[in-house]
Amino acid sequence: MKRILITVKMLFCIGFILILQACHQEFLAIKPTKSLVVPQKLEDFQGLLDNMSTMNRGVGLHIIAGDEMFVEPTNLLQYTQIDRETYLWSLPPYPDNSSYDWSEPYKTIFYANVVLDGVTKYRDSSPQWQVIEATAKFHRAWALYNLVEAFGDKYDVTRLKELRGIPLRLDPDIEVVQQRASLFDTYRQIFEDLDFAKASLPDKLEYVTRPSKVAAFALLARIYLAIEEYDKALLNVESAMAFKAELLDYNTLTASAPRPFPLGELGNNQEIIFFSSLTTGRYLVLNKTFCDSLLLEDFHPDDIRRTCFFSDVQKNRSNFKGSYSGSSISFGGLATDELYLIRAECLIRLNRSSEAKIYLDKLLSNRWMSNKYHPIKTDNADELLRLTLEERRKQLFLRGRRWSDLKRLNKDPRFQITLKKRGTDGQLLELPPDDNRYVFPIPGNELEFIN
Amino acid sequence: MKTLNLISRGISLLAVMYATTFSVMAQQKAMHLSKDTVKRPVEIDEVLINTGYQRIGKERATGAYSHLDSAKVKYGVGMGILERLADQVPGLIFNNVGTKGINNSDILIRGQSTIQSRTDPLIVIDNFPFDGDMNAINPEDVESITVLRDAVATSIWGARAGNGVIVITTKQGKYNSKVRLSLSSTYTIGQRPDLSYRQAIRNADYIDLEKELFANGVYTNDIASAAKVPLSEVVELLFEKKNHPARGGEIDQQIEALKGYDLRTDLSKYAYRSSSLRQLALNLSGGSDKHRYYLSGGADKNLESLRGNSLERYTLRVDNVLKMLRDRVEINPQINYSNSSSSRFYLPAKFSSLYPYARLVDQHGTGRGLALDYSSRFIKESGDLGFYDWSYNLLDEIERSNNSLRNHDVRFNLRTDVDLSRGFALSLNYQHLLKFGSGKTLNDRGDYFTRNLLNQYSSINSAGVVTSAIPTGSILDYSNETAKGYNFRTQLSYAGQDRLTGLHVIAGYEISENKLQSLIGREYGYDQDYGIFSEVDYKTSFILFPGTNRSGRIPFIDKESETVDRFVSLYSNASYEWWNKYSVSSSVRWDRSNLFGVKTNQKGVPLYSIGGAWNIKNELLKGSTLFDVLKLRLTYGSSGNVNRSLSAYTTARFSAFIAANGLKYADIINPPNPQLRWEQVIMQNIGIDLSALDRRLNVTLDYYKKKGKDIIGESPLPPQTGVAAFIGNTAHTSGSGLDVTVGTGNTVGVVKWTTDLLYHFERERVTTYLKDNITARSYTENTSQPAMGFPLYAYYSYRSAGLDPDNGSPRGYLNGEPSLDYAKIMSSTEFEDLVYHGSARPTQFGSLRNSFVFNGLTLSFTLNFKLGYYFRRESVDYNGLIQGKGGHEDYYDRWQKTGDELTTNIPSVPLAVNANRHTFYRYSDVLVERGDHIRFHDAKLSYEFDRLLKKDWVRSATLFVFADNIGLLWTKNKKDIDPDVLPLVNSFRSSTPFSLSMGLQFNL
Repeated sequence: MKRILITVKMLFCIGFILILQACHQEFLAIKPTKSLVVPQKLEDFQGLLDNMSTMNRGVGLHIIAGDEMFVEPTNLLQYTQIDRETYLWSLPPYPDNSSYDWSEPYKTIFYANVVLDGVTKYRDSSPQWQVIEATAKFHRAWALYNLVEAFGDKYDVTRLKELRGIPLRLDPDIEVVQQRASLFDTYRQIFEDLDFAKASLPDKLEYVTRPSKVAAFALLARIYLAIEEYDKALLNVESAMAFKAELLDYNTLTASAPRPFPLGELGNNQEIIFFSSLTTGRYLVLNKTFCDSLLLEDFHPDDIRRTCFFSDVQKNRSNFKGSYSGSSISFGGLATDELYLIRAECLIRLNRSSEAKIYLDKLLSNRWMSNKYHPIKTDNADELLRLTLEERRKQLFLRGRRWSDLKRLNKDPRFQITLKKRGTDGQLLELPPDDNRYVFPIPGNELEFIN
Repeated sequence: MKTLNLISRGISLLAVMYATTFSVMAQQKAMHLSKDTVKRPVEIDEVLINTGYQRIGKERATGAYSHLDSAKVKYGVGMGILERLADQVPGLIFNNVGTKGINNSDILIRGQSTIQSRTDPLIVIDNFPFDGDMNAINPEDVESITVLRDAVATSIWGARAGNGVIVITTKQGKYNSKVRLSLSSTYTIGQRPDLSYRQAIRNADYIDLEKELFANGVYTNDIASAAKVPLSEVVELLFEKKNHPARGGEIDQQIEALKGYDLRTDLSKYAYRSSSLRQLALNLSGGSDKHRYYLSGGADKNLESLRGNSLERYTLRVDNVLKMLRDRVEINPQINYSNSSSSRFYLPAKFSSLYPYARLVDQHGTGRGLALDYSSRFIKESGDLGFYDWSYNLLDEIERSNNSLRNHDVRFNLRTDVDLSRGFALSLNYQHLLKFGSGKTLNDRGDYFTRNLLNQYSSINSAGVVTSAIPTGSILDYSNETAKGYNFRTQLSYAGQDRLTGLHVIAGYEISENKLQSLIGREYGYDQDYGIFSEVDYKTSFILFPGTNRSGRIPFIDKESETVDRFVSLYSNASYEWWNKYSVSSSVRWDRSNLFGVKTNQKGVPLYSIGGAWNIKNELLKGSTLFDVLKLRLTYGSSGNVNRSLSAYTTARFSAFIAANGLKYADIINPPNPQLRWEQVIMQNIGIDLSALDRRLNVTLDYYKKKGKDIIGESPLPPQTGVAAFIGNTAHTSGSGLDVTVGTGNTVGVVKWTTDLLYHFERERVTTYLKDNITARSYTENTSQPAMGFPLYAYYSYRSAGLDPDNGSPRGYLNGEPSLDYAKIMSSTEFEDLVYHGSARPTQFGSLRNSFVFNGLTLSFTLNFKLGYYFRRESVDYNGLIQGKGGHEDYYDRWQKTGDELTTNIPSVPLAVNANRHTFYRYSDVLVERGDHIRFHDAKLSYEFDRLLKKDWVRSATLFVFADNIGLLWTKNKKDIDPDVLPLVNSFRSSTPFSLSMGLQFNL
């Protein structure tokens, strides 16, 4: 009898515990910290995509390795080791086996993949999800292209499937390690993402930090130019300029101001299509990094860009002040001036020189002092091409295009050049046109995981 | 489905538990033992250990417990309860190297198993975990403390018990006792800190050195700097002299006069005082056969040695226990309330880099402004332009300091015990915690903080008018904190005991929530007379004064935060003893929490322990008169440690600030980690309890081995993942050690002399740590950088190759050759090339207390020791020296000429600031010393007046004098440096201040 009583009591207790069990799932599902967000909503993903310091940046290694700026040998030791070794083309230039130029674009890709993963999980009927997806794909393509431009093998259309690209990460799972994809697959992925982006992004620019349809076309034009598919580059540049072709008249600027251009990310510079900065570390911050003095001599006195872009410290020693970021940060984003130059070059290369002149004249007349500019007279294609390429160097100074242009143009005997620099002891260093150092090595901390 | 699975697990767990219970009960019956469980008469001296879930007799305990009775709790003085544990528990240390606990608690029990998570033990007050402010607990209300050290003791507390558990039991009334009133008062006075503890270059020599450096042009850049860096008075005077050679003689005289001043003397005199602590406590207790009660109140006031710092606390406690329903139900409601308010004043960090002869007062003894952030020339210039005075007047600032932090803590407990008869009992426990804290700092418009901020955001217009972007007025910082928590526990217990066997089983269910909300904010342009605020422009980036190239937005500090911890737990503990010789015990606990994530919650890995004890005395030495107790204990089990900074999900955090483009944005702060779980500490313990010679010799030895499993650590990820490092359960640690307690009654008779020795030895290692590519620099500069096969905290140094015979610069090794290329040495040194000295934490420590009792007079004194560890001593920093910060006395032993390198390893004065040279020297092996030392910690003399006071109404009275931090007796390092002396404020050091307390207690 007593035994039964005990059993009853016991069952009562077990029952009580079971009742309490049932409500645990909800009780334990609460977030431990209020400010933590497990991204699920549209706004959460938009917040991730609006993280400028992660999403709006590009590779700056080639700015340092390139020939646009120089450092006097005696000052070189004031630079960080990584900047110095990159500048002097030592390989690999990463003293601690790691490089932000490699890891940061992959951080962009990680964010984009987290968003894309979320889009598949949480998508509802709102059309805004399509824009979020396209935005994430644009950012992923942007980062992939920045990476392949710096770390991928040199582009050779005949051997695309054997040449090495970069690891293609399309999933946020951090436990998966991707091997290097071929150049073919890398570009296929970039174009796939951009094709989706150009179809789904909004036409209108809300914020220059967010990509629009124009940005997708402009990036495609930039890529096709770099891989010398001029017809496709032209098609995309035409599509982009159909939406946006405004130019900033430099006559309206205070050219002598310390920072003549308005803050880039605020959208007050009507040329900017997509804002992005370049990782240049302390290289440009030190005011002992001077601009290529030979290039500066090529500016006509009536060309506003000479005073707008450069401040002279002493003879042949000028600092760059004309970043489209409007600050000391290097601008590496997309702007309409680049579109004009792409359009002109493509037209020349496709034997439509007379049309090309229209765009060059349009651009330059906004760069020279009012009424001082004389339209281009020559119809000689070769001459026009040289002129276009020279304007490209001048207009896109420190915009991150130079290294890619060097790689492309060094294939053409007409434009091949050997870069020259002075090392820490004043010794002359050379980088011949076909040098392998045009491709940056993948940092050691990545190579520990991939072949 | 998942719920079902969960339920079935719960059922099977309970089923196993109860099956065991019943089978043992059946066995008991089969043995034809008495059917009615008879309560064994409680022995008079039996110590009951409170684990927070049950009280168990020390005789049947298998785990490693340390029990502090009320006499031990009352031994020390002070407002904090945890401080009373010092020198009273083997294996417990107050550590000053790298502990991370709530309340800044630096207690470690049996070392540390974790790398990144909390290191402090779980604190349990009146049966429930306590996460509140320890200041809310008045030590006068504490009856006893039990420290749980091994797995059998801790595993019942589950996922939060890996660092040990401290169980605090508060005082209660007793049934059938007379009304007792007790009043006690204690007054403690602490020595005024003596800042000259750290020897420095004599100011006269320092000033001569400054002259020399000035002549060499060392200060030229600083004098002309755009940032207007502050310079010492002598350098300013020398500059003045250079510009006005005519005034040379007068200036030289002024410089000579400065040689007589010392900043440290001024600080000791004007910024510090003797600390004082007044404590008053009153309690009333008593009971009838159905009711017992305890009421108490306390008031404490602490004036700390740095002026402007104080803490006041009032506590109140009401505790009632009622028996009802034919004594089968006992109800115990209690309320604890505490109200504390504190004021804080901090010396600005810049004081550590102030020149050593700075004066805080002028010749009239009134406060004097100092050039703290900018040069005195600039302060004058800007003042003339119309900026606020930019000088810092310490005396004035202390006087003006206006801030308070007020806390109200309420703890309400309700315990209901129901005797279900036949040994079964049901206990329902509920606790509710409430805390309200509010802080206010009023930076008056005249305060340096306000003047400095307004000046920085000021600009001068073309008409020469200075206007600040921050509105004129005071700046008010406020904070509000609310903590709410509840715990609810249902526990069923069975206790069956007869002459030869005993069975104790408890099983229960617990649910808890702790919620912490806080809000901080700032208002500018505050007018306290009218309560008016002004709005500010947080968006615009203003050019900061002085200079043209720095810009910033007006500081926006408003922030809200909210954290919630929820736990749901099932637990059970069973123990069985038979024939007074053997006992076994086991416990199991299953924790689930909102911190662990779904996967871990579903897996339901329980934490468990098993233990056994063998009473050798009763088995083998029954007739022995030598041994009173001889018992062997063996335990094994696991407990956990929680890291609440990580999450199992991909988590993002929105920035508190909106970006320049007007968009709010988020960062991913945690990549997905579905495998996240609590860290586990698995511990084995073997212990011996021995009591012999009529209990005049008592020894407890405990040897343990522990393993930290699934410890949170960093591991490398390929950069292509976009995540810098993976932080998850990837590391492992191990440890072993020995706890020894020896108590002896040396004499009996009129003078009773007793000795208590505590000794602890430990060895800890990181056994797995996956993160590689750690630079030599981070090992040398960071004692907590984990290295596989080495202690958790250790000193590593660059190998020194002596001083360069030509110029006295410190040399290191580069490719095996002595070198002066410090940057290369530091970047190319591999971990294997570093000199490993040893643990940065004591590997052996303990205490020795002797007490003499004679006719109510008791004299005790305590020595303590810390052995087997290292520390890095300070030495001369030439960069600081050149920048006007004074310097270490090692300067006198520096290299001055070739040949000195044979007798000294202190480098020569460099020609210019060289950061790498100093960094190399500072982290080279020549500056690491042994930390071993013995300290005369305290002495206590007390007298109990019960013989003198024959008055009826006074039962007893006690008077005591207590001296704390008496002094260092021995150090292993030759320089007599006290390794426990931490910087008092910034880099000023003072020996640990001596304090003296006097107390009086009346029991009526």
